[in-house]
Amino acid sequence: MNRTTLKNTVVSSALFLGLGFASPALAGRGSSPGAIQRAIGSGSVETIEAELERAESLVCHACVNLVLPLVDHEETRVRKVAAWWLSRRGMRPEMSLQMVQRLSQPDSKLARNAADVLGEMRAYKSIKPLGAALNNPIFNDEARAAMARAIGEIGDMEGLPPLSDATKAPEPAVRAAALESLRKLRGYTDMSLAVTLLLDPDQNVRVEAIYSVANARSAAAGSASAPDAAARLSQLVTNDPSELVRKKAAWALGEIHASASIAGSALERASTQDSSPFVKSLAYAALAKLAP
Amino acid sequence: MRKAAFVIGSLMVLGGGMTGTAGCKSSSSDSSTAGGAGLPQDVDSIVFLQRTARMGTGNVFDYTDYKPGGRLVKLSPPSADGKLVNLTAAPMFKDADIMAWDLSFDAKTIVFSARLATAANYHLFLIRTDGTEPRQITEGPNHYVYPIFVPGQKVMFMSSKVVEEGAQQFRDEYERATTSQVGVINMDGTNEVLGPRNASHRVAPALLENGNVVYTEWRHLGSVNDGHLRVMNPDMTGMKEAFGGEGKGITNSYLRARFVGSYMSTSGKKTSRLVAIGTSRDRTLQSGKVLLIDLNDDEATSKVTDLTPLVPGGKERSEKGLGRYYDAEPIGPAADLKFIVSWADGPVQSEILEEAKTTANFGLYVLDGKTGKRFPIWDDPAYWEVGARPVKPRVEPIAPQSPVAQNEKSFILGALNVYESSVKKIEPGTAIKVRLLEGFSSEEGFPNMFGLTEFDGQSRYGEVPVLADGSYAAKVPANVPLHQQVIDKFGMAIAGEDIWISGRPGEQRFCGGCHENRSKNTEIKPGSIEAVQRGPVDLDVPRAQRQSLDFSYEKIRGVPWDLALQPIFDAKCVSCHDGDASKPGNNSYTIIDKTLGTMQTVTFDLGSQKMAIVVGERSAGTEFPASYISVAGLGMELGDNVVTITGDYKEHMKPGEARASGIIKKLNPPQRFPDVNPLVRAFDKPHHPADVGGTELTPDEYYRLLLNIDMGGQYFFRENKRGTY
Repeated sequence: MNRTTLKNTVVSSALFLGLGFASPALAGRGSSPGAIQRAIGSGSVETIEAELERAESLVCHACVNLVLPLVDHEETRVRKVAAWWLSRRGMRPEMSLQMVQRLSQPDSKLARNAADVLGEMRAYKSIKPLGAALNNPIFNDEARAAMARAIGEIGDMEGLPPLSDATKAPEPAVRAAALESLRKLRGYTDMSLAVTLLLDPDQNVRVEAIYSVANARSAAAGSASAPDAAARLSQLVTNDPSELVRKKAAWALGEIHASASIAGSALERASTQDSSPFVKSLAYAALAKLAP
Repeated sequence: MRKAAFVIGSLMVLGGGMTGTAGCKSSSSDSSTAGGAGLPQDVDSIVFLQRTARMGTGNVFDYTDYKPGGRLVKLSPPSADGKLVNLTAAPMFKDADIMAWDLSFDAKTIVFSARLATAANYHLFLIRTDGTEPRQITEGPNHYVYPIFVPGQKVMFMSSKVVEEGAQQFRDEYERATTSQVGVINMDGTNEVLGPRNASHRVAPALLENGNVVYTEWRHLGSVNDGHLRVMNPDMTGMKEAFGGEGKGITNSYLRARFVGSYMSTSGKKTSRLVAIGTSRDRTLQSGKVLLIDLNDDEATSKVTDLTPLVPGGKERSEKGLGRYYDAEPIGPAADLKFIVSWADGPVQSEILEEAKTTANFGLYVLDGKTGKRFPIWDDPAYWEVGARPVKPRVEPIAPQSPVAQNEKSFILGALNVYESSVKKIEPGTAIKVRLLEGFSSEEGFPNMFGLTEFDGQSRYGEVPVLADGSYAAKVPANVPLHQQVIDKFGMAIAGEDIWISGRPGEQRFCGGCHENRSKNTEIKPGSIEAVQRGPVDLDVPRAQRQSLDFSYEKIRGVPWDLALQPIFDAKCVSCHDGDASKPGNNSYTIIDKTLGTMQTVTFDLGSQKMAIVVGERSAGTEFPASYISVAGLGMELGDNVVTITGDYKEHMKPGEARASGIIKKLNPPQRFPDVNPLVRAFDKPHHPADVGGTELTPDEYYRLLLNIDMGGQYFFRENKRGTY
């Protein structure tokens, strides 16, 4: 017998409150089994998300079986809130094991969903299997992007090697997700990987690269990559066909306090001549942040 | 499209019965319309938001719920016959969602927060009041929301961007959403400055006549979980309580406060009257009662008047004819108590609306706060009409500031006399030190909870002495949430308000006391305050160093249960407290979980073996050891009315209150300050385990345990954050 006496006994089936029954004044923050059931039935992502958050502390065994299938819901937000809710039910160990096992089978959809769950649970020990799966071409780009994002959610520097590798993936979605996740790693400040992708042919990758460079903020000044970053961002401000990219590049030059000698003329020109008023205003604001 | 109901409705009196008109969604109309029934003569136009109806406002702090199709419009004159102009008709705003806006002091410029169709985040934009000259002033992968103009041609906003470079932004109480924190930027997009952080969201700022800013803060520390009003200077210094935190409130949360007028308090100080929405933390689409709040001298003397007494202030169903209010903007003389309000009829409650497969419909009305009458202005059923403001200039106040030391990177905090408090009476001579604790959330890499209690992540900066005159001063990291505890000679907290505070680099904040009266002068005469004479104790070290190097009194910061406490139990406790109910001191109780149909008997056990929990759904599974579950207990996690606990149930731990915790009373720690004195004990009783022949804990071991409990009784700290899985 364990030193702590544990008994797990079904007291009475009559005590079991099934989902179809009216719920008593339950613990937690105002949810109920019926409310969860209705929220799931509504099909509304926002409603499911809001209701499960409210049910953070809800005592409802039957709800576990109701929520469990949501980890394979089509919507990412639903998968994530389901993972969060289930992990608060003491299911982290079991869920972690199951989801890591999914990374070893060939179905990309199941693997994608597993990655979302592991990331939401911040399952530190899943970094290695996630990293291995991230760079396994058996999975499609959507699944591998989810794996990259999961590593970012966990946020530990152990995720750096697989994410670095993933920035070289042939699929733009994987490269973009890897960049996004790199800047979530606690303690990671190197912007050199992002600088190399500033001129990526894919617009989304360029945007994520811009964000990642900008994330360095004042620390960029001490980076050996800073001149390259400023030059490439200036190139984007001037030449990129996308207004979205031009305005973000202009903003990023200000964020990293780029050298005026490198970025000044591009920003000056953009602030007065760009066809987009948003590029103009953001370029104008960035000019004030340049380092002399 | 203008709503037809406004030409056929009947006058509504709040609280009175309603005669609905078939086919008309709103029956709260008055054919006289607001133009003749309340709007001041000098209001020739109003601007407001038209937002696509939504349901996804899970709690009152949600700010990222994007539904395309919103717009900013101007109505001139502000009546059903007025001309409506879309100020954001330019193609770049197609399918945008606009969540909040404000008008410049000269009434020529509008700032608004919008998420464009091509964007993933809300950002700040400016336009002229005729809709021309659009500009974007923020960018990047963060949200910028709730903009307002503040003195000095600046815009204050709330943002998910983190002030501390290299760190991640805090997550909210659920450990899911990224929190919004305050910042300021020039109107031309230059000079962005981010302010100090709260452990959870800050939302909905509004400017007061004196230049201060009132805002709503999600207060979450321990069991406290509400949205209350605070004020700060427009430079983001001097944050302090305003209303809702000391039991004077009548609802859980207070939102979208707006300045109504100034008046003299009984102490002769100029203070503010506000109007705000009072509501539940969730389910109400962020809408509820219209409340008039007189701040008076302090929270203890503040006063709230419910202008809509029949409207629910909780999450219950609102009846037809009563509905709920989304916001209220004062118009005309303050004494008139007239407001432009956004109001929706019927059950404005997300669960009910979902069930009915419908949404709430907020329209604009003038609310006469004296009579309770409501007069329609505009209601297009295709939109929520919210955030209406008259278009007219207003006086730009002079910006108040707190003292800020130039070139100082720390936040300097102190009190002139910790014994002065409106919250807790502290017996003279009992306050020995002030303990300063850092707060954070799971963004640092924790699993999504820190243990079995409701507390946030915490780490001890250190303790500073309370000097002879009751003063203290400390230098702590700026921009980081901080909790203060006054501790006694045993090292236990004897006072501490359940609130996080934070300050900017160089900010020097000396409270009169612990939550002193706002009307009193907090004057620091040179040489008059001992803590000022001596200078602040420096507790500011870089984030990377804010972990326990060891668990001695001098070096302890976090108290990870498995690393700091379990070794004590293993060495000195577990030989007796081993889960054997036949041994004395091993209380045993049985929980019958009526919801699950399960039962579990827990017998006191300070062993390190992982323990399964089979009752209560927010159980720990097998993540926590028997010692933690035995001490922290399951009672608080099981909720009310669904379990029956029989047997010898004891509350060994009261999270956040070591002094009130059974295990501390049993151990009965010795005096710690100024020197360790085993002859002086915290409680008038024997001390354990020496009373049964066991080996007494060392002073540091006592301190570890009581520090853990005073910090909320959690299992995970920075030192063991990775967990097992």
